[in-house]
Amino acid sequence: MGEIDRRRQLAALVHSVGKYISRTARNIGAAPISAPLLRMLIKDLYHLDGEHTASAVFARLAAPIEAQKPDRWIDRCRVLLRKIDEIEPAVRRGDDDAVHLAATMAIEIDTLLRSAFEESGVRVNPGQKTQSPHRR
Amino acid sequence: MSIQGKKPKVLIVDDGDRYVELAHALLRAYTYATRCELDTVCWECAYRDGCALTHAHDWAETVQALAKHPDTDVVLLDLVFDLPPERLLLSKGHDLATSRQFQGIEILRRLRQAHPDLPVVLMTSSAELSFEEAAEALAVDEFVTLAGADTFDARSLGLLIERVVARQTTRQADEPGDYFWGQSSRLAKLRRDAENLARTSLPMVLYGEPGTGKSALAKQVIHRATGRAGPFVTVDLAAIPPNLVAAELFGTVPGAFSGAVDRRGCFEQARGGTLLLDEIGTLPPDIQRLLLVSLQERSFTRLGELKQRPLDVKLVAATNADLKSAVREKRFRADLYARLNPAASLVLPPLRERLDDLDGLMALFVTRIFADEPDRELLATYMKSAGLKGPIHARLTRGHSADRHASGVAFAISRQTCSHLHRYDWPGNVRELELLLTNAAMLTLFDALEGVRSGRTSGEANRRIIPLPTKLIRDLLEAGRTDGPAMGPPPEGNSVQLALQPAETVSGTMRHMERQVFEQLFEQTDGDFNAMANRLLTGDAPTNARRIRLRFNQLGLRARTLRKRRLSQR
Repeated sequence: MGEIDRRRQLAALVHSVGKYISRTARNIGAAPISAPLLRMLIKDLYHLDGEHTASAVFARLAAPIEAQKPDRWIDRCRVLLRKIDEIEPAVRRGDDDAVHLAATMAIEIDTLLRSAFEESGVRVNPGQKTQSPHRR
Repeated sequence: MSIQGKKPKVLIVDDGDRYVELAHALLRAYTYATRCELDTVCWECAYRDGCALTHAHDWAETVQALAKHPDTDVVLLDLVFDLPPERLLLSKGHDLATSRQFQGIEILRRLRQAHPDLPVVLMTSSAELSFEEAAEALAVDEFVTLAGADTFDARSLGLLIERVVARQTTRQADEPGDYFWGQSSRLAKLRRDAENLARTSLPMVLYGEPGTGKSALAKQVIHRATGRAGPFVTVDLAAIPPNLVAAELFGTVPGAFSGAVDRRGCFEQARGGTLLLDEIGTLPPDIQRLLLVSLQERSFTRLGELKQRPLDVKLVAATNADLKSAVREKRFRADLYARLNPAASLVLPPLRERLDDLDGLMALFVTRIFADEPDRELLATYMKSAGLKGPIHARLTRGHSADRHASGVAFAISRQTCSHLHRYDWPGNVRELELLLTNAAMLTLFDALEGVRSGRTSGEANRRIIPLPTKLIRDLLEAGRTDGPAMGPPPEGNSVQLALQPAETVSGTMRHMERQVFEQLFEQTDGDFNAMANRLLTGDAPTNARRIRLRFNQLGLRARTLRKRRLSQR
């Protein structure tokens, strides 16, 4: 995988994991979470592509990037996603601490992915083919 | 949140439900352009779970939603659409994956053909969009905003929508408004011809005296009727030095000539849109040849390069000269004249030949003057000082029969003035009429403001109707004539020096300048109002002195204070 393909995969990670996992997380204030927002958060964390957890989608999309060149941000994201999976029952119950912890970690994942993408810095031409990162 | 009392209407175009869920949970100050027939808002709807009518998921549904909601204020458009091929807009030369990845850009392109100035917020960041083709499509679209990091932050997204809608509202207020067609059958035919010819790929030529509205016709009617997504660009060829015309039209690359830079010309700026070449009759002969070749080849090159660039503009040429005579006199190339499609030229009549439209035009201009800042601010100041409540707008009425209970302010024009204007020959055409009304309305409003501040005008009904003085209009018409006696240079010693001091409004600046004139004349004449009147006005001396004294007081100047100041300075 060349640099351009790597950047394409990173763009897919930013779009399909970073942006989507932090959708509800960015809108949770200090107050207890409302029922509609909790439903949205659960969807973001545990049904990210409608079916799989965020950690599973990340594992699929990050695999080719890691195979080419392992990086610390990949490890850090994996750790955060594992923690998010671990607290799933508490998040689903609407436990305040768990919800806020999960939201904080989701935003950190988005930030890590955006930084990695920006550091990759190669411009991409759409004429160059790549595998569709989006599957539902 | 509401802008001008109306909730903005938002259309969400997204293959999934993420944005609509977020909007319905957190952005409830808007109305939404859904495809549903129910009146209920989505978040209160009994059928909301699993409902697929909340927004548009692809291009076909976008078309349906916009047909149902033509009053949509802003579109929130996703970039990536993971849809089956039959629901995608497939772009030439792109594989399926790329088409999905750039579906938002394809939808935007289609959207622009039908809705050239509908604001679109693209729900992505420039980093994700760092793809050459997408960047190029967006660079020419001034109505697209990237949500960037605000994509999923509801508070920031709400502010962004507010800004976009407010910007569009301002932009629409800045537009000169719809073209005024009036009642004459001649204009009705012109309209049909203009709109029909606009839809063809042929060039168009507009003939008309100065001030008849050629540019307005090109921008407000022809460009809109073309349905082209690109911008409207106008270039006044008479205003450009002949040696710079080629660079202005075709652009340059470094090295083309000394000091040449990498610069797009008008043809590139107007790509995909309409280019108006105003005063085409003044085009230098060598540029006529270049233009002819470009029109024949449908391509051009920038000065200093060999690369052919496609000529993708609707070309409209305007002139007040007789091009046919110019061809006969060898001042204009016959082949270029033929290429400009002279058989389908449009002729705008002078105002003196459409006097039936005079009243309608006057009413339009009075309303338009105060629709924009800074003049709107002066009207707002007047209404506040006069204790008038309600929307800030102005209108024109004939005589004093205006509805005294209507909102805003009415400028009343007497029947005598109207008949005088109908007898005038309007050498400067519509432009002259607009300037006349602007000057008359502004000066009258300024006096009316002084009237309410000094307590001379009482009663709300009287304050809502401001008569436009017949004499003022006659004086302004006389001053605007170019065939009258020329004004000579000011007599020796009859001059003042002004210190310009920027104010928030034009009227504020003018008032400051006027005060300086009066103060200096007061100084120069030792406070003699007769002498001041002689320096400023012609006509009956005693009356003029009283008028000068009145204006002096209206400007807030006090003779006693100025005299004291003079004494202390000696």
